[in-house]
Amino acid sequence: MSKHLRRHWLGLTGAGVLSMIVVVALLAPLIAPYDPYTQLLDGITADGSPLPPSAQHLLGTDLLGRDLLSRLLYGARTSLIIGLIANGLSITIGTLLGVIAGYLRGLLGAVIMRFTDLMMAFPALLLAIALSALLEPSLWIVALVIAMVNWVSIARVIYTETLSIRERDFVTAARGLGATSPRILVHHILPHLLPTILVWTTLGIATSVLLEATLSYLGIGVRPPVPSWGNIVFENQTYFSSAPWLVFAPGLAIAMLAFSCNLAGDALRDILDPRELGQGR
Amino acid sequence: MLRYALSRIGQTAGLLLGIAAVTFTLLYLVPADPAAQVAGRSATHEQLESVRHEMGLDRSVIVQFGDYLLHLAEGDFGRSYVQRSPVSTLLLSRLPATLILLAGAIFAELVIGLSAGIIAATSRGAAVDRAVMIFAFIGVSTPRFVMGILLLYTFAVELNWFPVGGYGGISHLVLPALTIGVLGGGWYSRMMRSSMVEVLHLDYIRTARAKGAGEWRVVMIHALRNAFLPILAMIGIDMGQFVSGSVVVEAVYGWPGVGQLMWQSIQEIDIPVIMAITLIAAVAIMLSNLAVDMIAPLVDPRIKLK
Repeated sequence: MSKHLRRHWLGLTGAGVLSMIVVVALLAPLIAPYDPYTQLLDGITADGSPLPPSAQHLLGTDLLGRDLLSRLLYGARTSLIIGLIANGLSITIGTLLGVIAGYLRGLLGAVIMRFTDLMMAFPALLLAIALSALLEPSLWIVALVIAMVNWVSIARVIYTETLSIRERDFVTAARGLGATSPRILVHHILPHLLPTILVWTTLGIATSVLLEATLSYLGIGVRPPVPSWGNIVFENQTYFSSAPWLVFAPGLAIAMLAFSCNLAGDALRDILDPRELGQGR
Repeated sequence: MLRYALSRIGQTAGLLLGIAAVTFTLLYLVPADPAAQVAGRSATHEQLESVRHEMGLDRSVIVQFGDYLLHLAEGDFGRSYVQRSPVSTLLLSRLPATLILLAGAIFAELVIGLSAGIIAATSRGAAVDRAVMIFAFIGVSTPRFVMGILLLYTFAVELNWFPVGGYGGISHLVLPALTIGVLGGGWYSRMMRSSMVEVLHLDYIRTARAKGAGEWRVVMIHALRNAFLPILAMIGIDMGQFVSGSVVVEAVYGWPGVGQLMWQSIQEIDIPVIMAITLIAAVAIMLSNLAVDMIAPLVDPRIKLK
């Protein structure tokens, strides 16, 4: 066990930071020093520029005189929603389509996989931009757009896995014993897919949060005043040379969240897939 | 080889049609009324009807799609709603800047990624190796706009070594190329490392060592040549992805390429331009995948064709 701990200290650190961000997001109303939407009267200097960090405002205020720390804390909620809803949705869609295509194969499977190939040809960011440009963006629409773009790679992975699992002896045995297809899927195939799904869910948080941040930075994701780490950078970037913390604090938050998810996901992959153990590291 | 090539080209042609179908759907079927966007808000009912007729929106969907394909084949991507000029003209004027950035960025990625990867592979398990792995993770976790603003702030605003964005000489290119290079380099270094580790285990490397070749020569001449093959495929994929990857960087640095055109079109919700760039990016990805598949068996005879 201690050998495991030493091997995966990076992954553990990632999981720790990730849980911290989740706690912060949940407790935001309790720990935020100010309301993230209130433009404070004394939150801006006489000539209209944001306040630097001080005892009252630990990270200073933003261009509209709102407390930056409070906006960051509430921004964690946006990331959490994206990480849960958008990512959960894309994992669900991808798993369903991948399992169906891999288990049933035939015409339906071929159609699903050709469609997957087609979606694969589009770069995720541009497709997300195109979709968001057509829809009136809100937090939920952004989550939906991200799910519509991100399910593709999961579908491919699950499809390949399902193809190999369905040929294994225990599936043949179950079928020989008279198990119905739904039963085989739920009791025999799905449990073997769980490690893969778990790893991709963890890595997927990073992918979806980064995509949300980029869309919001481009002004096409989550719209202000709802705080998102991406749109905080978008709103304040004109001040990046005079008040760099307005840009770097949210930027660091995004990178930290994605970094910890990637570390945790990679360690999970290592732990759950014994075949990869000891290979090349 | 010929059969393989033909079947891959056939698949690609099918995908092309699919890609056009997706952008057509997003362009003409999803928006409530494309004519309203062209005619503007103050248009009367009659004006709207005439615009609709002009755009051919009163015809059946199949005819419209056929028309769309024909225009695409002629290089006609429609007209920008905002700038009123043909999208193809806008794109062509932006292409050179993006190609320059592409060359600079891939150069930076290769220099950073290959050296980090080789160093990691030759010092496996050591602290350097782990540092390179963490660097790779930081690369995939940091949004490009954050790295872009960070480099801009450090090297242009604080240190004053480079201009604060814009377009012109080499000095303008360094920071945007480095932004992509530092982040993408992490990805290259992981690939380089695993490929190098694999090659260094092969018999011919042991032979080279046994014959007394120095470690530098073994790694840089004997091993690198074979370890580089997967990197070649990666460069191809990278080039295909480039249009998409340049949007953010060009927006941060005000680099007047296709990515910046995309960014401006987003702010103005100029749907035809957005769709044209999406279409071109998808085609670029597809063609680069095709090129990689075609070149790989030529470069490496060990690759078996399906």
